[in-house]
Amino acid sequence: MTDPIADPWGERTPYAEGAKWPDRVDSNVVIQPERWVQSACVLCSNGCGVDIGVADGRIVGVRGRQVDRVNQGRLGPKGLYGWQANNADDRLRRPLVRRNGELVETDWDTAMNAVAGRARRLLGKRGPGSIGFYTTGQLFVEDYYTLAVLTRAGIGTPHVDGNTRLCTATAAAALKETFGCDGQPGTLADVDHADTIFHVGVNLAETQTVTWMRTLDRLHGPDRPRLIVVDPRETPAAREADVHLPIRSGTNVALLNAIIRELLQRDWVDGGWVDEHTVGLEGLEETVAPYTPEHAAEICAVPADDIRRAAELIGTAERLLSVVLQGVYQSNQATAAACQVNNINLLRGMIGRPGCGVLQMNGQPTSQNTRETGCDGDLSGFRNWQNPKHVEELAELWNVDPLTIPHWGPPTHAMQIFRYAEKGSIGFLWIVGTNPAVSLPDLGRIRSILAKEELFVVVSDAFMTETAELADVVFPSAIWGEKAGTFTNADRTVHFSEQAIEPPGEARADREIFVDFAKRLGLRDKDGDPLLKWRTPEEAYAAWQECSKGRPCNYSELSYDALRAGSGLPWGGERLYADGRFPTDADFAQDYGHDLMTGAAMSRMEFEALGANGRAILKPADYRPPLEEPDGDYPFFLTTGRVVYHFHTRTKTGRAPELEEAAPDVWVELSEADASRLGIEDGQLVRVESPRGAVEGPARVTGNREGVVFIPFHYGYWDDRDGHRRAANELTITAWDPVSKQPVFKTAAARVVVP
Amino acid sequence: MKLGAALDALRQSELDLARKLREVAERQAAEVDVHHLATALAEQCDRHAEGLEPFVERYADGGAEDELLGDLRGLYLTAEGVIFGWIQVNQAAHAARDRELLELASELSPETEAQVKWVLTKAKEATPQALTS
Repeated sequence: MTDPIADPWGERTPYAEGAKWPDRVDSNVVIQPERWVQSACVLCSNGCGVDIGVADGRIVGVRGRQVDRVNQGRLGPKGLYGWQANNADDRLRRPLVRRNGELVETDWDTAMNAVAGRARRLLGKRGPGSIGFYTTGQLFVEDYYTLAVLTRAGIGTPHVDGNTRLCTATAAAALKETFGCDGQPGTLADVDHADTIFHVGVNLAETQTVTWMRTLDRLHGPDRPRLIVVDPRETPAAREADVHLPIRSGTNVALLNAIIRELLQRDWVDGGWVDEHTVGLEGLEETVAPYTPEHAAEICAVPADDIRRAAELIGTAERLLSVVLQGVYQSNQATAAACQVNNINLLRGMIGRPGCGVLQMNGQPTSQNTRETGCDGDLSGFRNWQNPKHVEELAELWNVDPLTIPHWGPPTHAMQIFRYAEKGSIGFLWIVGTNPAVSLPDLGRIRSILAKEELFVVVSDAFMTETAELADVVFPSAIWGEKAGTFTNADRTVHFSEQAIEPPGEARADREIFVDFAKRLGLRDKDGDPLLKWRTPEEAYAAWQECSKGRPCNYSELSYDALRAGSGLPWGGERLYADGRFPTDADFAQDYGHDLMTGAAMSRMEFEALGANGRAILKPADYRPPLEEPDGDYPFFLTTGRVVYHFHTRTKTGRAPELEEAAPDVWVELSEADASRLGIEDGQLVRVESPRGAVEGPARVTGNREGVVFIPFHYGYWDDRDGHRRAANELTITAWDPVSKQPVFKTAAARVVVP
Repeated sequence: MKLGAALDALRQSELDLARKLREVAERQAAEVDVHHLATALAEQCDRHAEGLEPFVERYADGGAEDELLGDLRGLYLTAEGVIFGWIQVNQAAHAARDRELLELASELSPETEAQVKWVLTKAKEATPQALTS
């Protein structure tokens, strides 16, 4: 094995189209394990199958699972080293409560009673709308589903969302707009079959390392697929691309419209398939008509011939795989742009067949499950809040009055939850396994909200994060390896993760914490029985299986035993929509769609008027410029993002020595042209300023697009308490996509100065 | 809970609408269809106001209406006025056989409709929190 820090993708194992991706088992073991325990990696949405090595009651290493469909033995650097965080000395071991301004250790009873007492008083005085939950993409199905029932059927609050709003909300939104329901159409194995791969705003090499290994093995194999990359940065994928389109930040829709126009003009459209399986072609044709390659070239600031060439590669593809991530989801017109990628595959009739797919990727390892269980902007089991029958199904399942379940509007999105807390109408906010004090936009504002006297903040976490430091009560959580449960990756692969070791100190699984809370609140069903009727992971999972039955995300066949016997099984089969039938029947659809520009919700009647009935919906969108664009004072586009060695706010990866040493501190990427114009040398300290804050770090001169400054978003203050000059989100703007409500992290105006 | 103020405002609006319907019925007595229907609809409005009364009392002790909701309400009413205008222009353009005006109306009025939908979506989402928490 090569050094995974020096070469995160390791040795090539090239293979040909349609062949099996060769196995390669990666491992990192520090002491010979006494036993191996089945699991999957939780350090990105790829969800690689992994065995956890255990000796003397501690995790001592990991090895990739050769039999797993996702990774066939491989692991990326985060997976190989990140597990060391479980053993970190500074794990939270006991509950903490704030007394005289200080967080002090206490017992579970005291902490839990303080939390339940505050919640009960607020519920009595101001009702369910005063209670909010902000969760994560890190829990297991068993935790999420418990939280969903607790909040929707017990407390009855619409204010439940996850940080998945920051990573994956647009994937869900675009799938719902186009196909009527969430659910990844493609599979990671489409890499094995594609002859053309289209990366739009995805830095796969750093975010889904192992699927990039798979892609590289095809690119270096005997029948190399063509690769088109849209990214203002010169990413590893951009360096491998046949066509790299380093477009101006925030202009995805203009580019995609021009590509769609070319497909239509050059007759690279599967007309028969489109007629039979889609609606909306006419509207799409009208909308894209003005987007000639020259017009788009002006907006996107890339050569028109490159746009033509990209369209030609896509248009002449026989098996097209499109892959989308944060460069779309966290950018201007997120949902509108993601829908245009869906449209491209639909126009080509390339969906649901080997190599023909769309991967609207996820960010976090279990974000798919927040979407499925209803811990974010949906009701449990991909049910539609606008469909009274769906609400009744849940009410019957949970044995509560349908009126208890908030369904007068979509569940409240994260940025709105924080706005309600800012205005004071939310007085209780429970933050589970995430770190908004580093990950949300405009951190100065977020810190001031969390610090508000009137806001009671509860944090469950494994570590004393920047957010936990602002809490009134902190619960120590058991994490991956310390509890049994299931989770689902970006291509719907469900993994079972066995409990390998005991949690540290008094830490508990989040599922247990929620069950205890529900009990103390006295939440009951219509018959007076406890609302949450489960204790063990298996019981919680069985309840979820029941809830998912009859819906697209059907887990009822995926028992613990089935998952233990195999190694990762997808719900919905290998690919969705192989028959060209889409979940757009009004009775079945998860969502009736939105106006892509304003986010106005469509009614059932308007949805039915589209006449989709099992056909996919081609939704067009005009280009609109970003809310904040560079000007004389702030001449740069700031874009934030991820690096291969770190995950989220480094709570785990910052505690793994190899990863921490590989990327110990923040930096600022500048183009060569900008650096030389400003007289900045590689390594020189620079300060990036926006109207909201400033960040300082050494410059890295790169091949990125001129006028773009990039800062990795992982770095916060738990290991650097020197002011607020490190987190990229000091600079970002409070704004979100009108449909998916995903915050904008890729377009803010900034300036670069030498301090 | 600020629901009381919203209920009272709605009851007042129903009574206003009833009054205006009756005024129109009287003024337009020669337009017999308008006269009869406006009178009948005014009675509907009276019934609506009556139905609301016990709830106005139930939620009487709340505060004033939320500022955001007030703004959204204002936008909605104005935008509905604009839609009415576009409908008139569209109809008249048909009758006048003014192809250019027809094109303008068919291009722009869907945007106004989307504006109204957005205001409604935002108001529907914001109202429960503003009035009950």
